[in-house]
Amino acid sequence: MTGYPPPIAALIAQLGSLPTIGNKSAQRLAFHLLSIPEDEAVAVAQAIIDAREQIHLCSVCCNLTDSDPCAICADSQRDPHIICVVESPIDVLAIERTNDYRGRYHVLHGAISPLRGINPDQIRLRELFRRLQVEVEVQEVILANNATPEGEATALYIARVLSPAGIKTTRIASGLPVGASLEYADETTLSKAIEGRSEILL
Amino acid sequence: MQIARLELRDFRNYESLNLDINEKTNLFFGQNGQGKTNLLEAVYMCSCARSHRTARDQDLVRRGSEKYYIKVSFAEKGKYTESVALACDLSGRSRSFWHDDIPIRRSSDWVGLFHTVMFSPQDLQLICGSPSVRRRFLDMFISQLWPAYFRDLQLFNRLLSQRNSLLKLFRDLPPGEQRERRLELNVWDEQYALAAARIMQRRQTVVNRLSAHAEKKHTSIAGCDETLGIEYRPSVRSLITDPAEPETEEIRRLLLARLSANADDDVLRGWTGVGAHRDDIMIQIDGVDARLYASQGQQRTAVLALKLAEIELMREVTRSAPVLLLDDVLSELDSVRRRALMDSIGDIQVLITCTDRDWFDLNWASLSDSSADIEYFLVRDGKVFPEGVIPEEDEVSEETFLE
Repeated sequence: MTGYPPPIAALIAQLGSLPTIGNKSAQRLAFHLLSIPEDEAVAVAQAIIDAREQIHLCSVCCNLTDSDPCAICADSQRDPHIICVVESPIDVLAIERTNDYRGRYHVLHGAISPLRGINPDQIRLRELFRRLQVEVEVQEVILANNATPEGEATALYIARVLSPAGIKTTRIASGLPVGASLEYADETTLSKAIEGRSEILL
Repeated sequence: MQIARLELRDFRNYESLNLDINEKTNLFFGQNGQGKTNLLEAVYMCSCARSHRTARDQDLVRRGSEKYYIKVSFAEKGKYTESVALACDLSGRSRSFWHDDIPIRRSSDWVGLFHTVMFSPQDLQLICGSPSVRRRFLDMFISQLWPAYFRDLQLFNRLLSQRNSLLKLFRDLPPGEQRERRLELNVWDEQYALAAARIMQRRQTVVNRLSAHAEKKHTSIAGCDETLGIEYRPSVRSLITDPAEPETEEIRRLLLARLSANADDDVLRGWTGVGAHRDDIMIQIDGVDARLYASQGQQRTAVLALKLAEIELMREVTRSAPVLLLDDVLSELDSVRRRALMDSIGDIQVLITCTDRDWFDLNWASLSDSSADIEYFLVRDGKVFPEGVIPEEDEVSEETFLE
C-alpha cells in the first residue's frame, strides 16, 4: 500500500482488520510492536495463540471457557432453576459484576437478523432448546437480549418456542438508567419506562 | 427564529463561506449554476439532516474534497444565539452533528432544533408526483416538530427491511419449510405494528391540522369558491376507524390482525403489503383528485396553500416562526399568488434565490412597504458578495482583453 516492507504491511493490514481499529491506529500499533523488545511482542502473539487453542464454547451454556463445563456451569452453588439468556460473553461479565444473579447463563452469540442473513439456526438457539429438554429442573428463563429490534425479536422467538413446554419466560425491564435525569431520555425509553412502572409499596 | 450566520466548508461548490444574514429578507441573485440553491439546501439540511434534492452525500461534497461541514447560527427574537452544525466524512462514511458546538451522537436528537420551510419548483411534484413524494414531505415536516416521530421512522424502516428480507427468503422456500418457519416471521410483527401505528397516528393528526390551515389559505389565494381538500390515506383505510381522533393502540391492534391475515400474500409477494411505507395524502379540488384533473394554475395554488399551511402549523406548534426558503419559485407565481405569499410571510425571515435582480425589485420588493429590510447578495462561482462589496466584472474584461 504505502511502500512498507511486506511483513510490516501485512501486520498493519491484520491489525487494521480488527474491529474499532482504523488504518492510523493499525500503523501505530504495528510500529509499537516493532519498537518493543522482541520477547514482549512474541508474548502478544503467544497470548493470541494460547487463547485460540485453549478457549472453546462451554458444551452446556455456550459461553467462552478454558474448561468444560465452564466455571459457572460447574459451580454447584449456582441456582439450577434459572437460566439467563444473553447475546454475548461480554453480557455475562456485565451481569456477573452485579454479584446479585445466582442462576446460570446461556450465550446465544448474536441475534436473529434476516437482513444480515442470520436465522435462528445461526445462533446458539438449538443448544438452548436441547439443554432445556435435558435440564428439566429449569423453572424460569430470563431473556436478557439487547433492547434492539433484533434482540426483541429473538427474545420473542424464544418465548414463543418455550411457551408450549410450560417454561416461564421473563424479559428484563427496560427504561431509565439509574442516576439519569428524565429530561434527557428519549420518548421511546420514557414510554417503555412508564409502561413498566411499578407501585411504591408502603 | 432568524439565521444570523451561515458557515460552509467544502459543501457543493463552496470551498469556504462565512456569511452574515439579514434578519428579514435576503435575496441571492446571479446566473444559473453559481451556487444559489446550494445555500438554501445547506440551511435546509440543518433542520432536516437531509437534502431536498439528493440522498447521496457524494453529491454534497465539493469536488476534490472528502468532507463537508455546515453550520447555522440562529436566534429566537430577543433570545440568545444557538447553533446547529453537521458534517459528513465520505472516507469514514460517517455524519456528525453538533448543537452549540457540542457533539450530538444521534441524528434523531438533533433534527428539530432548527426549523425551516422550503418551497422550490420541485414542490409541484407534491400534487402530480408519486405517493413517496407526499410521504417524504410529511415525514420531513413532522420530524422537525416531533423528534419521536423521526426515531419511530428509523425504527420502522429497520423493522420493515428485516421483515422484507425474511419474506424474500421465504418466497423461494418450499411451502412446507416455509410454514414450519412461520414463527420467524411472526416475531417481527408486534414491533412492526407498534412502530407503524405510532407513525400513522401522528400522520393522521398532523394532516388533520395541516388541512384545516391549507383550506383556509387556499380560499384566500384562489379568491373563488373552489375548495381544497387534503386527506390522509393509510395503506389500508379501515385501520383508522376515527380519523378525527386516531388512537395508536387501536391502529396497532388492527394492523397486527392484518399482518397475520395477509402473511400468505406477503410471502408470495416477497414484501410487506401493509404499513406506513404505503401511505398517501389525497389532495382534492372541489372533490376531484387534483393529481388527475387540476390545471397547472390550480396545482400551483394548491401547493402554495400547502406550504403556507406548513408555516402556520409550525408557528402554532413551536410558538415561533420557521425560516422560509424560497428557491426560484417567485417567478413561477402570478401576482395574485405572490401577494398571498407576501401577506403570509409577515415578519418571517426569508431567503430567496432569483436569477434577475431587477425582476425581483419590480415584482416582489415593490409589494412590500419596508423594502429597506432587504439585503442583496450576488452569488458567483461559489462565492457570495454582499451589496457594497460586489466586485468589478474583472473576469469578463480580462477575457475581452485576451481576445
